[in-house]
Amino acid sequence: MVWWVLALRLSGLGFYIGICVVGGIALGVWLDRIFDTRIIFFLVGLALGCVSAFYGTYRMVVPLVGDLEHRDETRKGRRG
Amino acid sequence: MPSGTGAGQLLLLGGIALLVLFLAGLVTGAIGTAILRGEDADPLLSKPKVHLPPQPIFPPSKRTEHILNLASLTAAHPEGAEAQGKGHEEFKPLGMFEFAITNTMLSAWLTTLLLIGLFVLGVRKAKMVPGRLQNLVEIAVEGLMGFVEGVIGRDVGRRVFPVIATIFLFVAFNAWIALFPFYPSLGFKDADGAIAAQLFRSAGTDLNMPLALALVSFVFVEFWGVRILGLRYVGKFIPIGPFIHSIRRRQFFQAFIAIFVGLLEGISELVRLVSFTFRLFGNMTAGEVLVLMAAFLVPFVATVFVYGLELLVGLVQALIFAGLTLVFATVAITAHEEEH
Repeated sequence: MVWWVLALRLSGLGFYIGICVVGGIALGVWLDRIFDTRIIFFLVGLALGCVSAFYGTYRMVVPLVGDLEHRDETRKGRRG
Repeated sequence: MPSGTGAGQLLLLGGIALLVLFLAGLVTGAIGTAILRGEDADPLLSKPKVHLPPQPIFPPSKRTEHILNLASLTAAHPEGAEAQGKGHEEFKPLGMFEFAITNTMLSAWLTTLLLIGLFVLGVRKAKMVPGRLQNLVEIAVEGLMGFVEGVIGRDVGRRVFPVIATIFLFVAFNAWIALFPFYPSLGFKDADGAIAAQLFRSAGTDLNMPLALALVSFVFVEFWGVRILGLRYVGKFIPIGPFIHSIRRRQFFQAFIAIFVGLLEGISELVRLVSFTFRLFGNMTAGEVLVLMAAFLVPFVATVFVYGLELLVGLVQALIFAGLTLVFATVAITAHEEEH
């Protein structure tokens, strides 16, 4: 893939991380209110939000790293 | 070389004129006025009023109601009610089921007409040796075709090209058309004689337009995914195969992970809607406010630089919007195969 295509895929990363974490927290706070608990669902929501954010980041970054490594290898191959 | 000297003199004169205009702008603008004549003195241009919600223009009854509403707000809080956030109880945006033609809608229609007109005129009498307009249209279409095919490949490229090209041209022309001087200067006056509602306003500054485009992009990406991969595409979000496989092997944790991953794929798909919408809306609104503020702080020349910047921003946003739709379409039709 062209380098800017990979770069473009990362452009929504900030939004993704923010929405996952804030969404998880909002869901937790909402459930806390419904079940009248204090912070249990808040903490669970936060954890879930963070996990989804990290997993999504990983999924988005892996192809980029793979492509860069592939490119480096082809360059080395050409030189050698 | 007489001609060279003439050109040099012309350039020098132009430069001096620009410098004089810039200095005049510095002195008469809000910054110069505040420094030279004290903070209470009135600058050349009055403080710009920024309306975040689009303004109803037709039917005229809705427009009059809106302008009267704005005037009553300013009378109640002369220091700018919207800016201080005091007048929220009084400011009445359009209701959810209330319909009016807004200035941003008019602008979007103008862009659409302009684009249709440009392309119809360009290809109406197509010749082997193209004229100027036909040449322009051909360069645009060929450039975009190369861009699309370079990313997604030749076969699928032909299929997705109309949508991607339309998104690109619509976003770019929407941004550029708003830079015409008639945009801020045509409008409907209030009782004081100031323009209270513009006839046209850049469509990108209305959250509805980026949202509508984001929905179009979203629907098409899912459509292409289902069309090309069929049920395998749906399996990305509802991973029944891996789930049943793990249950049979009694790996219940793996089964849970499979469902969770499918859920995350779905979330990331929906998050795109938000990022698409707010990226375009934020950039276009910021541009509009920047032009207004530059004209208010240092009138005449300084605004020209901002206009140049806005030309670039319009192009970049169009490239990003169309490019991202293209990239997500590529991911939608290939991701499943990459995984195996």
